[in-house]
Parts: sequence; C-alpha cells; structure tokens
Amino acid sequence: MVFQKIFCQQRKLSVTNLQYSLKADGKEADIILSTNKPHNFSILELHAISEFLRKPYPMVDNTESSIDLSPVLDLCSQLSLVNITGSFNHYLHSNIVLNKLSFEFSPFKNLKFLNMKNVALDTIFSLGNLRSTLERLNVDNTNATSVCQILQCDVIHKYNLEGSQKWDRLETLNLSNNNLTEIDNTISLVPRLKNLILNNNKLSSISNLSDLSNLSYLSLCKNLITICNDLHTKVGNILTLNLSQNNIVTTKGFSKLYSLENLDLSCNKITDISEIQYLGDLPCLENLVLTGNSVATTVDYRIKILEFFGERAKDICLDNEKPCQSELDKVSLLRALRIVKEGKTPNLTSSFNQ
Amino acid sequence: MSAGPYNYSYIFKYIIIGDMGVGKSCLLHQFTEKKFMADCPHTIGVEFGTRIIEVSGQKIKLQIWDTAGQERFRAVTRSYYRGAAGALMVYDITRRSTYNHLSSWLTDTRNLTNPSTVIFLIGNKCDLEGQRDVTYEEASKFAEENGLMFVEASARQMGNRGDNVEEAFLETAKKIYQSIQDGRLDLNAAESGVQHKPSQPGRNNLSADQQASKDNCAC
Repeated sequence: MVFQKIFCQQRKLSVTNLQYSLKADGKEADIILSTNKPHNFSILELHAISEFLRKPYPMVDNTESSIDLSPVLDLCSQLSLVNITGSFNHYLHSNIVLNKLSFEFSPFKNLKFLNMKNVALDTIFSLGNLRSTLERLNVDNTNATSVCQILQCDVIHKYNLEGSQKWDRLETLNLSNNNLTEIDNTISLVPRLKNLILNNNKLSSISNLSDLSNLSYLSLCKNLITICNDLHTKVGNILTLNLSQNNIVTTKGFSKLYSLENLDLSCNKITDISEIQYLGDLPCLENLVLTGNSVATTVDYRIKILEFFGERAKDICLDNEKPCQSELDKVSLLRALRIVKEGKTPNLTSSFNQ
Repeated sequence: MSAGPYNYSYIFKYIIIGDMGVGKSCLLHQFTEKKFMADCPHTIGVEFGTRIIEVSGQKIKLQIWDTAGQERFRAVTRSYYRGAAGALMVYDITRRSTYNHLSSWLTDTRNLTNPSTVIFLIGNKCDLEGQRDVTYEEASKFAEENGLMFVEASARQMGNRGDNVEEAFLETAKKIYQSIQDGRLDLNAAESGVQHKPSQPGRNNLSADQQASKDNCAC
C-alpha cells in the first residue's frame, strides 16, 4: 500500500499536507472557487485523495484525529481550473518520487481547464469524466512520444479508438515541450478541437488532422518539419499556421491553403526568393513572417516578396510591418517592368472587381 | 485602379458541395470566368474563386470554396462548412445516385453550418435533357420539403439555362443580404460567413486613414 508507506515513512509530512488542504478546503473553498485562478494541486494531495476514495469510508487514522474528506471532495467537484505539477526527484528528504504515485480524476466533476506539468502520464489510472467537461488541456514537459499517451493515458489498448473515449468539449490542446514524434490518429478523439499547439516537439510531418473540421489555429514551432506537401489536403479551413523554427525550404505545399490568414515561417531554411511565389495567390493572407530565413537578407527582399501579391500587396503585413508607400510604388513599378519584359498582358483576375 | 478589388462592402462565404463529377468546379468556373471548362480535372481538396456582385446597390464580394466531391477528401472538405453563409448543393440530373445522396449532403450541411446559412439546390447538366434521370418535379418537391431554394442549370450551356448558374449565386446572395437586413444574421458572429467592410478607404491604407482623421480634427 503506497499510501500507508507514505504514512509510515513520512507520516508527519503527509498528514500536514492533507490537513493543510483540508483547512483550505473547509474554510477557504468559497474563496478558491470565487477567484478565477487555477488551483494548484500537488501529486501527493491527488494521490492521497485517490487512495482515500479506494478505502472504505470514513477512514480513521489510528493515531491522528479522523480526517473528513467531504469538504475536499466538495471542492474538487466544483473546481473548474486546476494546475498539477509533478516531479521526478525525491520528495523533500523522503525516498518518495512524486511521479511514481498513482492518482485519478474522478473527484473532479466540473473541470474545464487542466494544466499538467512534468507529470508521469502512466500513473493516471482514471480520467473520471474529464472527457466530457474539459475545454482546455495543457500537458507540458512529459516524456510522451505520441499523442495517444496523453489522450488515452487511462486506456490500456492505445490506438484503439472508441466513441466513449472522445473528448467531447475540448477545444484547445497544448502539448508543447514533450517528445512527440508524430501526430497519431488518436487526435481525432478531439472532434471539436479549434486550437492545437505542439511547439517544441520532435514532429517531422503534419498528419491525421483532416478529421478536425473545427481546427483553425495550428502551431508547430520548433519541430523538425522539412516537407509539407499539399497541405490543403491535410488541414482544411485553417486560419493561422505557425511553423517557425522548422526546416522548411519551400512554400509550394501552401499554395492552396486558401483560407490562411496568418502564416509564420520565421527561422526556417528558405533561401530562394522564388520559393515564396506560391503564397501569392492566397486570397485571405494578411500576416506573413519570414524573418530568420536567409531569404530575408536578399537585396530588396520586402519589395520582391510583396510583388508576388500583386494588387493585394498593400494588405500584406510582412514581418509585422505594413508596406510603406514607397515600397508599394516600387512593387507597382516592378510589376509594370515585368509585364513589359515578358511581353504579356496583365493577368486580369481583377476584371470582375470593377 | 481606383475601382480596385477593395471597393465592396460585404464578403459572403459560399461553399459548393455534392458528389464527385456533378460539375461543381464547372459551375464555379462558369460563374467567375464566364467560360465552360470542358476537361475539368478532379478537384484535389479544395479550390477557390471570387467575384464581386451587386445586390440592392451594395457591392458584395463572394468568396467561393469549391470542395472536392471524392470520398477520400470528405474529412478535409467538411471543415469548409464552418463559416459558410451560403451552401450550393449540386447534383447531376443525369445520374440518380447523385440525387439520392442529397439527403446525406443536407445532413452534413445542417450539422456543420449555422441556422442562417442559405442552402441552394442546383440540378446541373440540364442541357442533357435526353439523358435525364431525375425529373424537375421530383427535385422541386424535395427542395420544397426541406426548405431549399432550387434551380436546374447548366454550366455548359449559356443563354437561357446557363443564366441559371448566375441566378443561383445571386439569389443566394440576395437571401443572405435579406437576413442581414432583417437582423437574423449576426455580423459579429465569427462563424456567420459574412464580413462587413467599411466601403470607402482600403482598410490598410494608412495615409488615407490619417488624412481622414486629420480632416475630422480640423473642426
């Protein structure tokens, strides 16, 4: 019994810990609930609560006064914002490693926002009804290598998708700073996902996102993405795409991502100005960031990039800066020169606009 | 140049849906380019087109998302229903199967768009009268039962029936505009599929804005 072990080895510590939380819960529960700040739980507290729930109730400790858990459970059932921080180090001066203690989420009936940091996901043995209440989930600094280890952390047979495992209300999922190597198909367990943030992982491709018909914000900063072909067949109606700090060399795969409004390609490996031309036909694009690519050091870089957008040049905010009038004049001049040089008439796509 | 592409007061988003090969891309091409595309390749994922039209004296820019009909793209094209103000649902009058699938297209549309989205049913290829497989009356009844606007059209044939292509796009816009006038459509809702643009200055035209503010100050 892990719990008894804590009691034996760390009796004082564990009890004070729980009593602390009890006190807070009994008298200050209303205050905790009324502030809109996330409540911080330690793994030890969660473990203790989970173990309590497994025991016949009420549990009376032989030497200490009896501990009434009902205010704690009452608080838990009402909390909507929670932070959990784990640790792989020994807890204080004990031999307890927090991330080896198992815990569950069944006391939480109304949780909307959960932020887990440095937690061992395999110690979570039940998600309770988190799947039907949670709207926003952050999982940070774990050793998870695939999405299923997070979304199915309580499931033994992972990758086996069942309707009951759907995260019905989850709209924002932030799995930054993990070791994800691929976006596996378990991501489709989050059908209402709007914002997906996977910064600082080890992803080399964009996959399995086509089922997410509400996805509009995708951030994949600091990954290992080199090739993005035919992105419009992989993600649909997306508005913001952040791919900064990857290894992208060309924008060819973005050419039909017509819904795109904001594109961040800063700190990639784009060297040739002609690799940007594919963005010229994106009708909704407003913000484009290309700093940190070697292409951004080319002579007349801004003008050459803006030229690809033709009439829309004045609406493009390039590297967080709107084009100034002299730039726009130069763009018009370049376009005129090009028409003369190539001897072709201007492409009258705007003929219907008059 | 002065009548540039930003001289319009609204943007309406449309989506064109329907089985593979019913002529969705041809309808779009006919409407935006006024030409019939004889050898239209299969759409990969999605295509896009725009045209500025006029409804009740207001210039409206239509942003049209032409989706792939192939089943393998179904998942990715579903995302384009989000924020569509108008949905053009197309079937082929010479192929009954494309008509039979309409109810599943309609279910998708109803589930994935908002209640104010205008749905227009188009029976395409009506120039192929000899090969007709679905009668006008039958489709018309289906449209009526489901509260859809309906027209038979041909992307190939200009003239009498070809005009119906134009009509479908324009009537949809009129109905959307009517919803705005009636206040049934909330312009501020993110997913309404309608954006209102202040008509005069280009919105990023800083100098014009500054000029304007200066004028205002000099009171």
